[in-house]
Amino acid sequence: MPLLSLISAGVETGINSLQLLDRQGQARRKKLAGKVFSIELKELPSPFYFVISLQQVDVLGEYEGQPDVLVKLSISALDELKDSAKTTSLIKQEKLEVEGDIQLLQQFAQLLTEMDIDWEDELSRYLGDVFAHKLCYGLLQVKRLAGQQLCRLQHNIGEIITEEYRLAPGPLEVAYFCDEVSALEKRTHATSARLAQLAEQVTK
Amino acid sequence: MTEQVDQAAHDNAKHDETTHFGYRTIAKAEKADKVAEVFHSVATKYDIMNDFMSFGIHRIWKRFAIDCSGIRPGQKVLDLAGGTGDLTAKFSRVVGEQGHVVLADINDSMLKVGRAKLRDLGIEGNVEYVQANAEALPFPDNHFDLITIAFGLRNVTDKDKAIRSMFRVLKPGGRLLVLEFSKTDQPILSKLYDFYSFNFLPAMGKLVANDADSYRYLAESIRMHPDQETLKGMMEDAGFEGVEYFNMTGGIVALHRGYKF
Ligand SMILES: C[S@@+](CC[C@H](N)C(=O)[O-])C[C@H]1O[C@@H](n2cnc3c(N)ncnc32)[C@H](O)[C@@H]1O
Repeated sequence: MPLLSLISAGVETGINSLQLLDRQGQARRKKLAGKVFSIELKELPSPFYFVISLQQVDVLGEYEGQPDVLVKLSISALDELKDSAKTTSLIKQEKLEVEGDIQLLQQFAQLLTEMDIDWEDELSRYLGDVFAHKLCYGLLQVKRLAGQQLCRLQHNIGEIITEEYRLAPGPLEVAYFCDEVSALEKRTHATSARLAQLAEQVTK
Repeated sequence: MTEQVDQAAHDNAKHDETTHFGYRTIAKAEKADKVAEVFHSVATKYDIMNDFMSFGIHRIWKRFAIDCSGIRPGQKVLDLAGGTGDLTAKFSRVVGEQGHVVLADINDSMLKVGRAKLRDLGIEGNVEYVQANAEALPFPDNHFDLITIAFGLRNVTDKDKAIRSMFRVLKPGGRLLVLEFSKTDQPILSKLYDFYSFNFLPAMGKLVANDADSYRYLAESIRMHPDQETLKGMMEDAGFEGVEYFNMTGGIVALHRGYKF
């Protein structure tokens, strides 16, 4: 049981460290103050309860009252929650089960995911303005370059698989193969028709 | 024969007037003052030392206690021997505006540190600070939904009296949680723990808080505290029902829970 306490401690510390940096954090928590959310991740053995107050978000391993909203989902659906357009489709796909007010749930998801944090400002407290600015600029560059590299990498891997190692067929090969299959299909039809004709002649 | 009985009665009376202060036997009347001295001298360093000496694990023990508390919005809670208010902070947030938390401690210095800390955390409105002795709680009968006493009971002179007092102020249906050092039954852990408590702990106490004696008292008072089964029996004698305990960290700490029905 203390293992779950350890997990809830980690989650709580993580959430609240970010909440502290979020410039809109308190205003958002105020709207949800007093609400309790039960979140059961399909990957974990038991739910966690998130109690919202003006001061912070508390995470409990057990709660004997009636939570305002009960949610069951898998970790992968967590990020899609904040998008109201996706909620219904998540529910239809059975990736998400909700009991209670969906709007409250979306507000809660927004509280956790849409944080307004000025990283440059935060870093400058520790590193000084100039260095923080350089670092943030540098990180943005790295992000952009990493994005480009990722695209290139995807493309390269595609080529390697199809052309160098011939593990998978290239697009032209696939088209040719499909044509061949249709031709074969036509010939098979013709042959079976011819066979049927012959069979009729023999029985006569 | 009568002489023997007289002797026994005499010993008993003597026993009634003395109690443990760590490993020393002192007059009962003296213990509260001695304990007060200890906590007065550690109050300002209390939180840092707690983290330092338990490697932060006390947070997990307290968290587990909170999970076992059944706390809900609107409830009335007594955090007894609450010291610097770790549990009070969480209770205050969970019970919300409609709820009420009393942080009670015998020691004014600890209460002051607690009050300042909670104010810094933005906790106010539903918390009340009361200087009180656990043995004679200044609250009405059947008043609280939940009482917690974390790492406090072993400092109390008359533990049975204190537990009865808690029973009295608890509402029917309410519960008591006692979080306290206890006995580990794992021989290797026990050896390590002894070494840690009697060598490392006072040395660190001296180094960080410049106060080896208080931390020697801490180690000794832990050893003198009743073990799991004894404490369970004491709670049942006071009227608690459904009493059970959960060992943590190999029994170094145990959480006892009992209900008043
Ligand atoms: C080790 S501290 C625990 C503080 C806090 N509950 C925690 O877990 O961090 C023990 C506290 O018990 C208080 N205490 C000792 N004897 C007491 C008594 N008879 N009644 C009430 N409080 C007492 C002390 O003043 C001290 O603040």
